[in-house]
Amino acid sequence: MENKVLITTKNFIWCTIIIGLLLRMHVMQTMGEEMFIFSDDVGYLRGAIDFLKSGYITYGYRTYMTVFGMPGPFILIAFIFKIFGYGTLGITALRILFILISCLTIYGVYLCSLKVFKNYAVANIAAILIAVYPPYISLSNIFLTETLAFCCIVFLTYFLLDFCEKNTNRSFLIMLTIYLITIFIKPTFGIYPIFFAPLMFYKKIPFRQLVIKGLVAVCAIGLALFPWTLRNYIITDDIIPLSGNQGDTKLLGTTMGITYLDGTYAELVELADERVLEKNYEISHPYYRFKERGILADERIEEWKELNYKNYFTTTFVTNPNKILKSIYYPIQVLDITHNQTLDFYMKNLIMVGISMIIILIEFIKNKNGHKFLSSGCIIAGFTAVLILNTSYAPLTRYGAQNALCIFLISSYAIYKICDTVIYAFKFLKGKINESFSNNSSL
Amino acid sequence: MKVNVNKLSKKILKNELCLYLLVLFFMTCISTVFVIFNTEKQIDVQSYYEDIRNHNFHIERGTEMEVKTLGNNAITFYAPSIEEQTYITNFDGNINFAPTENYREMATIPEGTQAIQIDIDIGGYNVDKDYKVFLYLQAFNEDEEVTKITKEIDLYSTILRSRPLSYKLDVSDECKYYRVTVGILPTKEIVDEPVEITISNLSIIFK
Repeated sequence: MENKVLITTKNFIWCTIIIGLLLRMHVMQTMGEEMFIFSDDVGYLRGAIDFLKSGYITYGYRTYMTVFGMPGPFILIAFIFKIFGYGTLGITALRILFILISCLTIYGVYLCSLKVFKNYAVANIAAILIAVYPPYISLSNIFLTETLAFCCIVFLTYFLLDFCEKNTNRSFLIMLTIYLITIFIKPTFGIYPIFFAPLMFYKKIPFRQLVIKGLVAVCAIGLALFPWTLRNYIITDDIIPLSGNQGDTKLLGTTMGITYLDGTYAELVELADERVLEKNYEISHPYYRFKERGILADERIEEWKELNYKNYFTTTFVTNPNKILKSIYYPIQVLDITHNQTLDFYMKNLIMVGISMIIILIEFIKNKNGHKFLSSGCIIAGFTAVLILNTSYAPLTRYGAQNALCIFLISSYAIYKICDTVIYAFKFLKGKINESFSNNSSL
Repeated sequence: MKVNVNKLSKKILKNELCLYLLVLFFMTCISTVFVIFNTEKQIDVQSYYEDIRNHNFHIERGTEMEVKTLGNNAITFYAPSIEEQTYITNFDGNINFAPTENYREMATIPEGTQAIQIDIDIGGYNVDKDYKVFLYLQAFNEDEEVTKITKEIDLYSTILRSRPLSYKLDVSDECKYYRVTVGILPTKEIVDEPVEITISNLSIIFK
């Protein structure tokens, strides 16, 4: 009789996804009502309900259409509310959708890992790490843009790698579509694909083709953003291609950990508001208050640069990103796993990323095969750029929540290599022992 | 130079990249038209909600609370401590009965209504530890209660923040009037914690 193995490394991903789904569902079942941080999450729900009632997307201010957020999350939530209502059923349906998107992210990480390392075991390890990572289990039950954006960035990575590998129009267009969706959810991820240019050159995509596809991408981005930019212009008389709330975050950032500048956030907001009154704008949209905060933030940054340029540079590009890289965003504790336990687990994986990169570098030098080295390098560079961009506004842990995706994706390789070496050593020792036994018995 | 339009259009339609841009352009045109006709410098989303001042929200029974109306949208109730079951209700009269003549017009359920949907934001300060908060939506005949829903509101927050809630009550032809009540129930005998409840974004939809 043929001995059939039910679970193999090739289909183990489905077990991982089911485990991830069950963990997320368990949190929804036991803590559903607690999974609100009363911040952007409730803002999106309120905005979506207002959108359904009035047809206008609002956020915080009820007398103005908002320019403080991208439309993606509002439209998605409103779509679910339109079908299921915004009562208990609607909230549950939305939570299930977020959980399913989170599970899709697990699968996306698995696919990305397969593209980079071409090894099912490594891909399974990466997927398991994402599936059981408590902050992501927590986030998948909270209505923040992170869950949606993580899924987008993971599949954007996959199709970027796919495009570099196959150079087909199909993979390019899918990648472009996911990119457009991504910037409608989290605009700061917009810079991410640029960092895959070295891989594109390495894979010998003809330069002419890259230029043509680049132009198509620019046209597509222009076309996709035009209606939104026009809408923002009609509302504020100012050109806002994406969202117009960065000024506030930037001002907040200048009050965090900078010893060279005086003033609390509340005092600075008051000062910015006074300036808005002095300027007497024709339009009273709150966007101008946020814009003024941005101007004030820029002035403070200039002052900071003048006082100590080196400190500005190191704080913005090294200290703050490093601080956020070494922290986790875990808004609501789930499954009785504490913040410190999770941070410990995360930091160990961060070390594993370093080990992975050393192994990959050694393999690159030995085999002269740059695929693994460049693919993982591009992913790390892209995530680092997004992190620096985010923390240049304000060093908030939430702005580094996406880091774990990259960390687990890369650290899984070191984990695999260590396990592989241990198993090899174990087998080798076992073989040696058996050998000595058989030698003894033959004697 | 002569351009063969048929040939060119066929060429464009065969090229995946051109076709993609063409579809995107078409979608952009539709979105632009939509944006032009649906974008306003100033809007009034509040008009899609009830003017909360018309609803006479007040303490009907229990500990007296300080009442503050925040424009036409929100109302807050504050007390240094609540030691007994306290009910905040819209409209006048006893919470177990239909409103009096003064509010009957406003409280009337239109004929043919099969369900009443209530959209409301409830927020609480300090109510997560020693208190339970309930929302009651009742329907009455000329005088007595016919049907109601009771929902316990989980306000897992020690800071005053609201979240949108929506509930539906099925009603029969017998139901003539409705009433919205929020109940605050202390879970311990002696409670000495300040309490604040905010009610906002009220919307009553008859279906």
